Amino acid sequence: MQMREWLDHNDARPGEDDDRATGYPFGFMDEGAKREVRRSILKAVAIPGYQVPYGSREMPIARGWGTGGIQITLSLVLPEDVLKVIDQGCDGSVNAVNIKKFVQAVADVEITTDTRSATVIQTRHRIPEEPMTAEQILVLQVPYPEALREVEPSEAETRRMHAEADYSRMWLFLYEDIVKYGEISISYRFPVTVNGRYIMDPSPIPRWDVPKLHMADTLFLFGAGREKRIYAIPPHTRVEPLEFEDHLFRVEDFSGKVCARCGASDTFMDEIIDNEAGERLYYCSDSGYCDKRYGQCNNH
Amino acid sequence: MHRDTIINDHAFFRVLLRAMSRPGSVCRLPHQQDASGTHGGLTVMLRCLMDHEVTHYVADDEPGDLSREILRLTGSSRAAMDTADFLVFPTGTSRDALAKARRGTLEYPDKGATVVFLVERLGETGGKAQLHGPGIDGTARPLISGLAEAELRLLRDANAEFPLGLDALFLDAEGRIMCIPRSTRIGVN
Repeated sequence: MQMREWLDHNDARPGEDDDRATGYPFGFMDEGAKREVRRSILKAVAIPGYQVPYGSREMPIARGWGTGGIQITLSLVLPEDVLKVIDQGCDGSVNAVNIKKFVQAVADVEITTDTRSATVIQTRHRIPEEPMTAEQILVLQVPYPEALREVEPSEAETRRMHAEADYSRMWLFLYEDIVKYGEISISYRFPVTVNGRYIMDPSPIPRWDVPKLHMADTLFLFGAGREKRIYAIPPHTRVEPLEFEDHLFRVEDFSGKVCARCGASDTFMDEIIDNEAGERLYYCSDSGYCDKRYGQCNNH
Repeated sequence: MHRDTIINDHAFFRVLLRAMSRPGSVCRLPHQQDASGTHGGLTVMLRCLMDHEVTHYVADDEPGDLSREILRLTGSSRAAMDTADFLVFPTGTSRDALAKARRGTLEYPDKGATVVFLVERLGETGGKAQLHGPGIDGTARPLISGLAEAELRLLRDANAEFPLGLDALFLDAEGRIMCIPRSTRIGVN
């Protein structure tokens, strides 16, 4: 059974004996908390790439497990929304299933695994393969919001560096990386410049997903619950990965690799080692997209 | 709060978020059952954002009716023009107050104020000012009827040193809103 069918069967439409939360307000959080999150979101949208500090609340999951994303989602969700939650591309991971069940229990939303039919997508570490539209919002969970933390441990100092756009140490860090390894070796959390001003951590998405942030139709909201920061990339905004003229940014190379399940050759893939056969297999990281392609292939 | 009221606040915020992330586009606020008086749409809209942790200033509000209504509905208290988090200009003019409003600091630009202008009518085309920047696909020329002529120039000057600046929100008589955040470059003579 495909993951989508399984979720549709089990979760999409809770019956009368479902475990819908009772005794909680719509959206779980108290209204004061939501208002602060909303004010922070609006300021984040108005200052693209700037990390807005906010008073992150306790959530029914541990900090570091998506509480920043959940607080953003709960502050803006509507009962008519269709919610998709993914964890490293997978709709069926424990973290993703728990979050979508929680939001469904407190906000009565319909849930889906189909990127195109979702209105709000909360994600950990991936951006869906299918292009998103202007009617959708992507909420990204962020473990470490500060792109400069690799080069400066002090929060006061990184704040000053952002204030003065003093990013020389970041550039030096990248230069030293090239000297050591021949190219910039950052595989995920690749730093980007937003709207030509702030250097921003795009959350631990792979390089593959970074170009999707540039001049997109969709609004991207980033929530770091443990680190108490919210930031955003509005639609149609320049998002440029840091690169040098002679060492340009590049995405992961999957040339010659094909998804063993759906046959896709144009997606970000996970490498799986088959111990018994002793071979390497590749599968789409985006399980919703893979399910859709797999279903189409089997129907023909 | 009643469940319907909470959901209503969510719906208002979604419209606000859409307007703020797409400067120059005109969005319609949800229909209001409990909007009362001439400023009904305004105060209900502010309820999804404001509480006792933020302050407001209302211009041209001599008896203080609107300020009291905001306090009653949101818990936000009144403050001076140069310190308030939210500034409301019910007559479409700030009388040069934009030049004095809080623009934030380089370390904390989010401390810049949010300004709300009540205007007569908003339209997506036909305006004199040309907007471009994040959230705008190319350029936008929104029409803002009922906004004093100097205001966009004042807003442009207040937002000249990004990331310092003000985030403006325009609300018309028919419940439509449009935003010009500080990231938007305003081309106006």
